[in-house]
Amino acid sequence: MSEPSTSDTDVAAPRSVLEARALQKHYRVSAGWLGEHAVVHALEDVSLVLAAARTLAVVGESGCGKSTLARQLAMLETPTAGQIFVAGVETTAADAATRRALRPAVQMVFQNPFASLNPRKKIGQALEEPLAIAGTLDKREREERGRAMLARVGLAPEHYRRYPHMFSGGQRQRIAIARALMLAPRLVIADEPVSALDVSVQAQVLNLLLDLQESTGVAYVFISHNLAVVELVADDVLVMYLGRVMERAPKAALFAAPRHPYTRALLASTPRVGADRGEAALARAATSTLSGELPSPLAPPSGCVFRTRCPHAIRRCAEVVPPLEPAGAAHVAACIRQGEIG
Amino acid sequence: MARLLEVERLSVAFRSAALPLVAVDDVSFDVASGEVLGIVGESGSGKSVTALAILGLLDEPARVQAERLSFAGRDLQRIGARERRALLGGEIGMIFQDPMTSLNPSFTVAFQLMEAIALHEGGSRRARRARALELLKDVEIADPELRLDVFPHQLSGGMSQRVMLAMAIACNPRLLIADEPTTALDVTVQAQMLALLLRLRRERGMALVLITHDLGVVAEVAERVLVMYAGEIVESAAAAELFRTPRHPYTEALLASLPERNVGRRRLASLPGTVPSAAERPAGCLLSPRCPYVQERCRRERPPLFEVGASLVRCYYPLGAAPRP
Repeated sequence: MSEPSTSDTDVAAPRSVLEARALQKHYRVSAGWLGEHAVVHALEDVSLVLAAARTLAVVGESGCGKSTLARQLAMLETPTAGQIFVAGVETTAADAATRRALRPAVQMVFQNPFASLNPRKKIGQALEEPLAIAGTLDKREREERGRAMLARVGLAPEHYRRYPHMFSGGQRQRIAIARALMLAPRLVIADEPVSALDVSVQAQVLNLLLDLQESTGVAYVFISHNLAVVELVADDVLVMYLGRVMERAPKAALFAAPRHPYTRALLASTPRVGADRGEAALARAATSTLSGELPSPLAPPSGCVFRTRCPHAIRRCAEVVPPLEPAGAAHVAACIRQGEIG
Repeated sequence: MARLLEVERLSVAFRSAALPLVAVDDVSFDVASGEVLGIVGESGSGKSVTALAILGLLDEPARVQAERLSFAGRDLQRIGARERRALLGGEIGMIFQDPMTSLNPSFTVAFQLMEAIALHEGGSRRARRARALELLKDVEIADPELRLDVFPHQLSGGMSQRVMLAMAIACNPRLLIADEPTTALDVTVQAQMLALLLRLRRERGMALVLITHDLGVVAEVAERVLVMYAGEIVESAAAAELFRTPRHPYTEALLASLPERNVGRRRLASLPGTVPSAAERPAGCLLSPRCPYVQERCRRERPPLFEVGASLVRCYYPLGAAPRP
């Protein structure tokens, strides 16, 4: 989203590491007793662009489709419709060999470092495995690279031969990050990488991610529900709700002048030290912005999916799906009333 | 204000093959009637174990010791099993982090609420059902009539936590202990839940002990805060004072590592290292291996809690105050 245009139909910017156009993902789930099926609308019309050494944060609450988006971008699943380009190559149309060749460029870091490391493999093995699969280096070279990476994420040489259970959560997340970077990817998709960590450890891991981006130029898709963290790491922000993009903007614009009522609600509900709001203000934040809970993705509301919880909803909101309309430089929001509600 | 809950010199250790593992070490505090006390700390700081020990919910291999544990004048270490059962869920309500595992999946919401009411208050089936409905309305569940006869898996996380809260306040408790009540919830639902807790507390005059790792939640809700680290209270202060002028280096570091306190900066302030485990506790001050202000004395002697203004601080060199003798 570094290019000036906000249109979703532009050709991929030459420097873009990642581009997605009008992604859609539907899952069929069984409903009822007689083999009937229902369709979960997990993603609808999601587009994004990300350049090298930049971070795109994807924010939203549970069920908004952010992890589904991550799985499509990482080539773990194939979208129902839409296109994804990694370094200019379309992954959604590529054959198996091309996809395989592209995989080293896209790596993932998951939320729970206790589940994402194999408990029976030593750290060194976990780090060397991607290199062994890529198959270009001999054993000694692989170990050299692994040890260098371990040092880079702030762990000691003696950790190389240890097992995951001997590490704390923060250290394991460092190992998971190290593993993701072993193949020098262009893009790392980090799905809630610090949510499972304590606040003092969270700071260490966020600093590490920022340092690594500075030195390697890797681009991040940073998926998070925590707006305070997003404000620190992101260059651009994509706000999702029930599978759709509500707003997309450079970080500064999003936090200073959010246009979509949902973005405003998220910002107002995030607890912050120093806000000292007390009951009255908390109640205002809770009720004036949002009532109720997320509707079912099996039967999303007609028109704007957010309208059932939106304090500004009018009848027209039920009739049309609001398009993403320009709200500023590189800033778009999907709300037909964004001009009126100021 | 009258003291409702008094805790003096509470310690909890878990027996293990080697040394006993210290989970809570010499913790003392009071809760006044109607007060909101926040207990904040990272994982392993002992905040949940403290609550469980007070409630008498810890079993072997835990060893609980205290000079005093009293609730409304009753000695919690002396009361029998029957009296404790009457007290818990009666005058003391509790809610926990994960509402999905706190409700019984095999029974409807109405059944579980009515069971709680039957145990403590009794009444006819019809009266209990009416009371259950009233409670669901009080915790602001959408369409309460429809929720009575559903099973827990048909509820969202936010709704399940509201049902837990309805059960906890069914018998008008004087004290509600909420252990990470909003951690599993989305932020917009979290704001609703915190506002609800504060409204119930005001209307019913109940005291609230809110245990959380989230400093933002504590800052918005609590009147007084205990900061715990590795099983000890390291700072105890009025909430406004704590967030304005932290006195303990750990409190300061926690606040400094919050992303919202680093807006515009490219890196977060952070403490090196990690919390010591229950098995390997440092000799002197427990923070000494990580503290940026550490002195020779800190590595040798474990500091007690010192009075600094109206606060209590476990540090020989409290921030912005004269060193302690």
